[in-house]
Amino acid sequence: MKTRIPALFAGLVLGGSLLLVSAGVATAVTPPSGPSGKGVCTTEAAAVKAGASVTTLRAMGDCEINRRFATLDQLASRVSGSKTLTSSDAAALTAEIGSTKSGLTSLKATIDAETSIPALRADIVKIATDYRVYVLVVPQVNLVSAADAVIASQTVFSKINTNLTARIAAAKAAGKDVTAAQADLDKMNAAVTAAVGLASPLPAALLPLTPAQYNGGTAGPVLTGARTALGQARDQLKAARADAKACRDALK
Amino acid sequence: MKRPVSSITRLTAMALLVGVAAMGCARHGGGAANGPTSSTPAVEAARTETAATLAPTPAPTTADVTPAPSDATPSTGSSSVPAATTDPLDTLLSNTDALLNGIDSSLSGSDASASAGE
Repeated sequence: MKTRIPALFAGLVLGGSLLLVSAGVATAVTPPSGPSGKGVCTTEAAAVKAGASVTTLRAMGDCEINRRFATLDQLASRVSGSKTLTSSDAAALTAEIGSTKSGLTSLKATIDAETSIPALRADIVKIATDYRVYVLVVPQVNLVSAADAVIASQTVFSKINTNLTARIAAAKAAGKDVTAAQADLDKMNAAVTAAVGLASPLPAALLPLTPAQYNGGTAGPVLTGARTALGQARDQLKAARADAKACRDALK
Repeated sequence: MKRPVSSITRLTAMALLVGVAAMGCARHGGGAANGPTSSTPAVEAARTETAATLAPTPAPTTADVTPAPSDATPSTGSSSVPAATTDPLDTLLSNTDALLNGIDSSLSGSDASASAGE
């Protein structure tokens, strides 16, 4: 027993120390915040511009990769915390984020081991061209999230439809003219149908896009088209909400 | 030397016990006017039965208690607390607001030009 108590105490002290150390490390290596880390690598870029060397190029490469890690972590948190993403879309996005991060981790190891300036320059270019975090992955996550949110709104509007239909029936039974209210409700339902119709095909079109397709010029138009369609879908949903309120007001 | 002392102690103790018992019996049985001091088995049985009859009813166990319906409305709770009057439609419309805000946020975040370039 005499030997056990000091051993236990030592274990607790060691465990606590490890916790403190790991917390300190986590704080020390926390990637830069912000949706894209814009401007984070300005100093490193300026150093390369002033005089490209293995050290300055490596620092710039590491910085660019780290800010992408920060962005990817934010995206991963957003996907895992989403209440509107379907499970399959969330899984696909999580897998894409994971593979992108894995690839960038390998590239970082390559950059850290590289000693040739031309090779380092080529590796740094790959950070952008091979992964397309900001012009492809980020829009993919956002647009698929928006599409699934539009689709999810159908459930809410369905409940609104049930509620308003009952009110209209009650008002009609009471001898009230419900023509305007019914027209508003019909408009609401039509707007929701249109919005869902715009959004439904988008995840299947967006999720398979690759950096190679972006580099080849075929992914960009898909992203642009999806953004336009989702803007229209959002407007339809806003109109649907206004129709629902108008329907309720018409019954007062 | 030890054995005589032990025997004397035992004898004394026994004598004391017998004496105490005899005094107790004499008091419990009362005098000659109250009848015999020693009770028969029949009398003992009657006493036990009477005591059992007069004993307080044991508290019911949980297994004996019929549970109240779970959907029973509390008589005091519902009358003292005013019912919530939130219109379900307001809640649903608020839900659409939240969804639309999320869509707006996603759309603004999807704009590549708004983020740092590659």
